[in-house]
Amino acid sequence: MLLAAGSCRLATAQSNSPVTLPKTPEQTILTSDSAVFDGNSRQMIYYGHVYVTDPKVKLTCAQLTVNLPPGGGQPTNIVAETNVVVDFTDAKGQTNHVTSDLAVYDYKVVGSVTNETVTFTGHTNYPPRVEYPDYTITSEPLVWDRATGHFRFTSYKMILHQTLSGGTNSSPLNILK
Amino acid sequence: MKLNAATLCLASATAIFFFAGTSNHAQTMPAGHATGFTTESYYEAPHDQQVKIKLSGADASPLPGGLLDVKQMRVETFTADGKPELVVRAPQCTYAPLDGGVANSAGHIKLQTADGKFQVEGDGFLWRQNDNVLTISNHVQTVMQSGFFKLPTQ
Repeated sequence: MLLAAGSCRLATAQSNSPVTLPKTPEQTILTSDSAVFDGNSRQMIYYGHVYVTDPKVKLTCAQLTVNLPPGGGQPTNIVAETNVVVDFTDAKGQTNHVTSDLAVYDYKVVGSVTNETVTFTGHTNYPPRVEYPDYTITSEPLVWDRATGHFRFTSYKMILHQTLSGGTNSSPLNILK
Repeated sequence: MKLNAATLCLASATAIFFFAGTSNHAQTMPAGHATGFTTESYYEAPHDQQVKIKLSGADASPLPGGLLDVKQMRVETFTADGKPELVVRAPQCTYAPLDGGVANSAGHIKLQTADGKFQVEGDGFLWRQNDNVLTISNHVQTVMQSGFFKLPTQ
């Protein structure tokens, strides 16, 4: 018959019922080969063929770390590593294609100021770059300020995709230091 | 957090369990079948009355080597002040209560935050209860209900 262990403590009345939310147009889908969740640090790390599909942005990389806030809700810090590629269309309808080694998403509210940035970094031979149809800009680091919608460049270089004769997509011309 | 210092609760109206010994409850294993199964681990002091992780199953059957075959596995985690954090669910797992509270399965698994805004699914998993670490092996898909960015695109 049933013999209960002496050290048994009855379960408390706590219940953690799953919540099913309707799919919304704002939702982000993230896929990967595998993932590890650390409940102590509240980190979800995705490994291998990481794809993020969002209404505002597409991202691919080899590893992505999402830090979940203790109180739940939307992550405020996300780190993408290795062969990072980000594509998005800005408010003017212009496509932006960004490549880097590392991308760090950070959301902070300090006083009345909201900061939401994505900081891209690379390495000496391959700094982060944002590519447009007519030109490419490299910068180390490259900061996408989400509050303004602008990039912040440091030690940047601009590479035109047009030739002097007006042709396109041949012999990029490096015109800026 | 030590599982041995925590609890192993097995309860069912129809459960029949036989323990190999009674002198050391942490080392005894049930032999039989139960339709209710719960293990809990607790925070360390000063929150030692607060459940940190609760693993439960609708059905548990003993396997060789001190393992349990658990159906309808459910893992719930709580903050130190008792608020629910995560829910992990799987149709089946093999659970090793005496080996660090390790659960694994080749089957499907679902994880979501208590508010449901962050939902993860995949195939094949390893849950290390003592370390509070979950590995999902294949086909991981996550839905972030509120999107990637907080601010609108400028």
